[in-house]
Amino acid sequence: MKPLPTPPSPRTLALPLRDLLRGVRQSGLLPRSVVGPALDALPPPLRHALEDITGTEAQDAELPADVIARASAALRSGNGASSDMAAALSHAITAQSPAPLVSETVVALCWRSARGGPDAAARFLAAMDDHPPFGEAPGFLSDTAPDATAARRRTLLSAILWLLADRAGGDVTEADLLHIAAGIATDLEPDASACWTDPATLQALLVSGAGRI
Amino acid sequence: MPGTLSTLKQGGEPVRRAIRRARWFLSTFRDFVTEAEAGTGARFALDDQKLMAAFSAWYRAFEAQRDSARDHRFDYVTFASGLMLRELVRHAPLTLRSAPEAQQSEAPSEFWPEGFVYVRFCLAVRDAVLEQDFQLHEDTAPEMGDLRTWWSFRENVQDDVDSAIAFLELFAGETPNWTMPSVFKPHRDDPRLAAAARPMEVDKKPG
Repeated sequence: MKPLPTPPSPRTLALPLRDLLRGVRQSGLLPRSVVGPALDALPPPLRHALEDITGTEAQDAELPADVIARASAALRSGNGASSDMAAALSHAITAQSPAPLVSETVVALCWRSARGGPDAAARFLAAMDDHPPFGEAPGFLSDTAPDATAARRRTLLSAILWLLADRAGGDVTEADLLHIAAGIATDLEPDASACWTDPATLQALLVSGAGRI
Repeated sequence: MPGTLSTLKQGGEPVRRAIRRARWFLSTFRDFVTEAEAGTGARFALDDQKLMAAFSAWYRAFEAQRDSARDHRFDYVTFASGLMLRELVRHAPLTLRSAPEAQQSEAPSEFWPEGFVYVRFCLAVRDAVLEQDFQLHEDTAPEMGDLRTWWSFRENVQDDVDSAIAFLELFAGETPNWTMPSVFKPHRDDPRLAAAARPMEVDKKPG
């Protein structure tokens, strides 16, 4: 396994706390009645995190459109904030995969290692395949069985294609776009796997695939 | 039953390009089925996953032979519509839930309701492209309403789904390529194209 990308300063990345709380949630949901009365007294960041743990409606909320727009623009340009990318990818993965845990921190680290070039989307995809941001131990363990590899890549491809999709016209919901991206990803996965280590070719495939959405 | 350009969604893109976008294909097909239900009284269940699989398979087949059609765009429009029919028949995204209201005992739409919608949709897309890019208004061939042809169509595609391409050509009033229907083979130079004011532009974009 390749080494993880160099971690950024925790001061600039507030994601590990969310990952940690997700991990707690993984071991069992707390009933809202237990923590609910105290939520209103807490500062917003902690309150939102606890709402995640208690499984309130907050976890089912749509990702804000501006976050999606910024993440989409970042993926197209090769530059943009890690936090938006992490939130968007986490949303896309969670929406289509029964993965027990998604780490926004790993997504952010992968994006930081990949951004800054014309084939950033391809290198981002490859980085997330090396350090899967979802699964039993995000970022560290990945199932190398062929079926598991293909399934993981389909999930990651879907998320990338979804973000690269043209949203002009606004005639389709994000959920529908994601559904279509998943269908295209299923079709593209064998071709993508054949050029996984060739960023330029993979980038062209991603752009072409997103154009089919 | 819908079947003309006006029933297909019109956006900023020409149909020949829009049809290569899954979102347009899916939503247009859904709308087309809804209109078909309203027109015939039939009710269908639509499997989105199968429809998406049909789109993906069609897109690959379309792209695979596109280069060989650079100089024969008119024929390729019909051939591409035939490829679309083949994939719709193969993946069968529609299932009849309730039969159409009987009007004619020998109507193809009652004989094979799902197949009839597939054919009408593919012909509508073909007609829309021909109208936009060649200013041609096509009429369907008499075989479209001939129940014996539909018997043959349904039976043949069960044995060889590629034959759907040739049947689409037949329904469109063109000369079918029965021997190797899945291989693009330009039939002829259509004299109507000489009069077309605006021939189809060269598409250089892959998507």
